[in-house]
Amino acid sequence: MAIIINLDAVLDKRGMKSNELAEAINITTANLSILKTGKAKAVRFSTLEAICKVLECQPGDILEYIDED
Amino acid sequence: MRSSEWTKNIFSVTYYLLVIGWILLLGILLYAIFINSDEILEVMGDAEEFQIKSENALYTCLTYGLLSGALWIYILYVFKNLIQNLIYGPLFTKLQIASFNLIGQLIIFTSILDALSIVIVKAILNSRLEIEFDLFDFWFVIAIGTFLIFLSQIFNKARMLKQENDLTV
Repeated sequence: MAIIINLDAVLDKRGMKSNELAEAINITTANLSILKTGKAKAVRFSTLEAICKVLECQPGDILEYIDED
Repeated sequence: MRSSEWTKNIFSVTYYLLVIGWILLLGILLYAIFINSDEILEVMGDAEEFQIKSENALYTCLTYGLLSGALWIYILYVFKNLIQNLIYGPLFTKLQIASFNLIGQLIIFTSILDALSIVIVKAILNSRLEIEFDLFDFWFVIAIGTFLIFLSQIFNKARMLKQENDLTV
């Protein structure tokens, strides 16, 4: 997919683990895994907002567009 | 009892009745072939739709009846399983979509085959070509078949929407 999720990199910078983030933003680790592996079809604004709030970052730090053509 | 349970039971009873009817028809064919065809011919000779007067015609009609019956039994079998799956399993699965599509196609195929066979058998047995089968019934069954195919397409779209919803984080 042309949208890349850079959540792992941001988590590494913050020294936070996936399960800690999942707990902080109140979603399951399975759903967070779907997001991290790029299998997600959509991200709710509320989820994005919660991630940005916990990780103190911007949506652009997590999502990246890559032209595949 | 819930309406879904009623539907399941009605389909199950119809299925088993059809299987019993099919076995009886097979018994009649075997009886005509191996024991006594005259008795069967006497009964069939007085039938309203086809007046069968020769052994070959009798065997042909009974064999066709068995083949057509087997197809309808298979349709009901798939339908019965589909309803069970819709009641007890998760909705919008690939199996349900494929089943709706298959049932729709089989109903259309069998209805056209039945209609054609009536015309052909009448032309051969009675040496006359006229369409006496009920056209309303024919188009009604075809409409049910096309509706089921349409329903399978709706289920396919619903499956995609469900998948999208499941993969929304």
